[in-house]
Amino acid sequence: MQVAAALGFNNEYAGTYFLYVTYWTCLLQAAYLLLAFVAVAKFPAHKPLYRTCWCLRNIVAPASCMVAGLYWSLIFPSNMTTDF
Amino acid sequence: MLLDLAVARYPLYLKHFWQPLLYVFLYVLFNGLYVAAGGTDSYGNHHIYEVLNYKPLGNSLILLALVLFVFLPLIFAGQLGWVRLFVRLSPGTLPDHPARPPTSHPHLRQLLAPAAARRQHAHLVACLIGIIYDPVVAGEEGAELANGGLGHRGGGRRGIGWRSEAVIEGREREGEKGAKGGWQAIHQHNGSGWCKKRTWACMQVELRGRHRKRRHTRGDVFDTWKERQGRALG
Repeated sequence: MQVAAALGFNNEYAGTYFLYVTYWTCLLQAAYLLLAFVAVAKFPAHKPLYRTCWCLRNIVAPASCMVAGLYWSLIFPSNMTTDF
Repeated sequence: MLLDLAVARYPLYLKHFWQPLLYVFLYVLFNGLYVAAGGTDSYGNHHIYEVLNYKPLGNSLILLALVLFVFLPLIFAGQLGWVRLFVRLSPGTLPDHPARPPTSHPHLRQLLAPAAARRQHAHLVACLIGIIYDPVVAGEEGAELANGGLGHRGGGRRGIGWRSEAVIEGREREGEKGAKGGWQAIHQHNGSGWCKKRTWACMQVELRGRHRKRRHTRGDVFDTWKERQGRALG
């Protein structure tokens, strides 16, 4: 989904996908989860992979919380009404 | 991510704060360059985020400073506390292995010893922020840090991790009294010098099993540092 959106299948953000820190973090998070799964399932003793996952986790964990916090506090329009 | 922080074996150290900081800084740099170059967002505006439009510049800079130096550190400290909470709740199953010295080179390590001590204090402060400070675990970490870490970083067949002081000083091969941690710890524990599965995580478990046989207190930590500094000074 992320790759499809990055390639421009989502018309709203076509060509501007990589401008937003939300999507940077989303891609990093997907990469971390994928690498962590591979590291655990296939290469449990692969030290470079372990270190890569470790580094990605160190970045993604605070960055995802930061992005969520900043979005809901600063970006999300406070005057938006929900139309059911 | 909170669940992942709780269950994953990757340790989280205060000294790794530069990694998310660098990530945010890189994005801010990209954002600034993009806007300065006349780029537009998906709606044709000359900014990416309304709150970060650099008009006026001062407001955007204040916001960035708040994010980089207040909001992000708070999140990181909270996550440190979160991880330590789960380490404390389930000892022996989650990463509680010590912070390692930045280098195994003896002269450089002597130079960096005060910095390592400061990191130790910073780590204790982070624990206090998390309101889950555990003096026993913190004491063990400090003592291991002062003793030169647990294992090797020699590579090859000698394992992964950091060399102990005894190894660096050449006392390991003779089996001189005082050689502790590192190679000998692994060797004495499983008789082969290698963690059986040869994985980082497994080695940490092995080392921790060996390490738990001797307890340290905070007094030991600072005594060790004093001894160490005394040796360094001659």
